[in-house]
Amino acid sequence: MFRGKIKFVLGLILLAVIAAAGYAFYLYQQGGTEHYKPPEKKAESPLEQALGDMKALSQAVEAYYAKNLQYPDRLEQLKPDFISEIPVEPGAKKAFVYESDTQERYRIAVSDPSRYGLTELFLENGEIVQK
Amino acid sequence: MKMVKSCKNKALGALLCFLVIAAVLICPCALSAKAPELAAKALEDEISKALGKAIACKKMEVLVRLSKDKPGEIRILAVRMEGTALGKMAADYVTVIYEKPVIDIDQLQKAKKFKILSSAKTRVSILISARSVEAYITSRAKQLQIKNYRASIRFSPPYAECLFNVPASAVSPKILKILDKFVKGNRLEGYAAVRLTAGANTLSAAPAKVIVNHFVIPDAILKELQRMVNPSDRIPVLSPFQYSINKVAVQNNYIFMTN
Repeated sequence: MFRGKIKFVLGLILLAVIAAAGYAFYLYQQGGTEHYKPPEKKAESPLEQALGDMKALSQAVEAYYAKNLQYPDRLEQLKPDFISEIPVEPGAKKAFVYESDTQERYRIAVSDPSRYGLTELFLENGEIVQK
Repeated sequence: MKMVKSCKNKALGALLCFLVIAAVLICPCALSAKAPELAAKALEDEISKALGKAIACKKMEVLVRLSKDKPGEIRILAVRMEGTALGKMAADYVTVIYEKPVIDIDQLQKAKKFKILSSAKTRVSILISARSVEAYITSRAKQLQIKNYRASIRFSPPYAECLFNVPASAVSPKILKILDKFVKGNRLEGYAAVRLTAGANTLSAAPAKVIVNHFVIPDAILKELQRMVNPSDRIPVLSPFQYSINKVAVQNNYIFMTN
């Protein structure tokens, strides 16, 4: 009976040691230079993705203004300083609608808000309007 | 004959009178059309001179847009500074934009001091490149007499990434204690991807992925590290401006901070 208990405890300890060694091996395996890259982006709904992309574009437009004292005429002008690729609208798979007077106002909008279950979805001078 | 002459004189007089009236009416219109432009340029020069004395930077541009409806009202005042010393770091661009600002003109003209009495809205933007961050790290390492180290920065929005190879002696003992299982030998070599947050002129870093000496650092340790190192930096306020940086975004070539 007593010997059985010892065997059980030893078995548990052995299991814990194997698990710890396995975990350490996993951490070591994941640490090669080929893993020197940021974590993968989590999957988002089309609306979340559109909002995230519009926010990133807006920040890039604002940063463009900070550098050039005017807003860009076209979103393409944001490359490569502020954004590597101009995102496309996830719902319609086409470019966001961008308007600007280059001086004081800019607007980023989706082509068809109904694709996201909304009547209005745009961002004007940094403020998101979502109805 | 006399009658004809007097008629001619009258016609000439009327014509002259008309020309004088027209000149009196037209000239002020032409002057007032040019006046805002001239006033804006003069103001830009005055502000540029005053700020040039207060702020050290490589290049400064001041832009004044006057209101078309209300004479004397400034619609937009924008100041862009290139290569500005922001504490120990050099900011590539610092841009301050005031909407409907009221400037203390007396102070500006007499004491050559820039002072904003009020404004409808103020936007402050700071752009810092990876090269400027690396230069800052180099100067800090020199200051702390750290030798034989390597650190390179790159931006992968929304993450800032750092590849490092530093002697263990350069790392604070508290951090070393947390990482002791992963420190073999006397060096820390690896990779870090961090997300940045800002609030009340402080910058914080949230490590999303850290690899030290071939080991991925587990999330529990990352949370502990995050608690220990934050806030990681203070964002200095450029006098005479007043602002509080509360937002930060990592972009392709810059860290972009705004109020």
